[in-house]
Amino acid sequence: MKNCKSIAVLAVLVLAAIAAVMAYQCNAKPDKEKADAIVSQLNAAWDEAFVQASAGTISTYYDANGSLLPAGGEQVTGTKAIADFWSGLFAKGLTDHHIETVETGIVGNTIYQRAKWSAVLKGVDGAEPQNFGGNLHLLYKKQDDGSWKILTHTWN
Amino acid sequence: MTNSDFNAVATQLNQAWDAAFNVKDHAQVVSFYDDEATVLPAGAGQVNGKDALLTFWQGAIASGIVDHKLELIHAEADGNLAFQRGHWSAAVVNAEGQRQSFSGNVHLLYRKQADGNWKLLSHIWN
Repeated sequence: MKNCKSIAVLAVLVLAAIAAVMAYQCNAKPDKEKADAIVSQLNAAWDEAFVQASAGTISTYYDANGSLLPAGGEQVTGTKAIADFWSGLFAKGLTDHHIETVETGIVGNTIYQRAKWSAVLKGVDGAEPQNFGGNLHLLYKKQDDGSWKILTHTWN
Repeated sequence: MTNSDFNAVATQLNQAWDAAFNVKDHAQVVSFYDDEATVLPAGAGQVNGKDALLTFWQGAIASGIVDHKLELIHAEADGNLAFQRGHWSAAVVNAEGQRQSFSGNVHLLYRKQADGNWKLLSHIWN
């Protein structure tokens, strides 16, 4: 009799554990897919604005308090300073920026993306174009209108 | 948690990270990372998870990097995620005893753990 009770208790516990795992998976998967879908769209728009060399458009993809943490430069904060930063790189001939997502996550009003970036420096006066690339980390903040904008943009 | 509360937490975490690195305790360094953490080093592939992080930081310490210092510029917390923008510096002393200094920007993303502590989820620098 005691054994039967133990088995019954164990069975209930196992069922509860399975239910918990299923609930977790059901909750976790759409979030992951949601973040991937949002980030995929944001990357495509960002890269497109870069190809167009439109610093004004790119700056609209950042939060009003957004920051860049450039490799080899001081941190840049705010829409105007960010527009000026990208404008300076376009003037130097940087183009063909491509973001390749490695991992995304969404927690509340924040999305993070770990990625790889690559870009091309146009060859001037017949010089060969140069390829650059590295690691990239982007943090996005949900805006009041439901859109997502970049809060921090760090690369190396 | 308010941003000024998180500023204090981040400053404390910076000091603990630097202290562990500077006494060459790579296991202690890795204890500050989330189980799903990733390090995005300058000039190398991304490093995922605690085992890979142990090897990575052990290698960095063995390569002679000393005097690591994290300085907070700005930090914010939002629910169970928080981040810090900062500045890092360190030095390398070569076999001839010559010292070379390095520095750059650093970005740290933290995730709140079940016990209320904050651990690093992403760590990138340049």
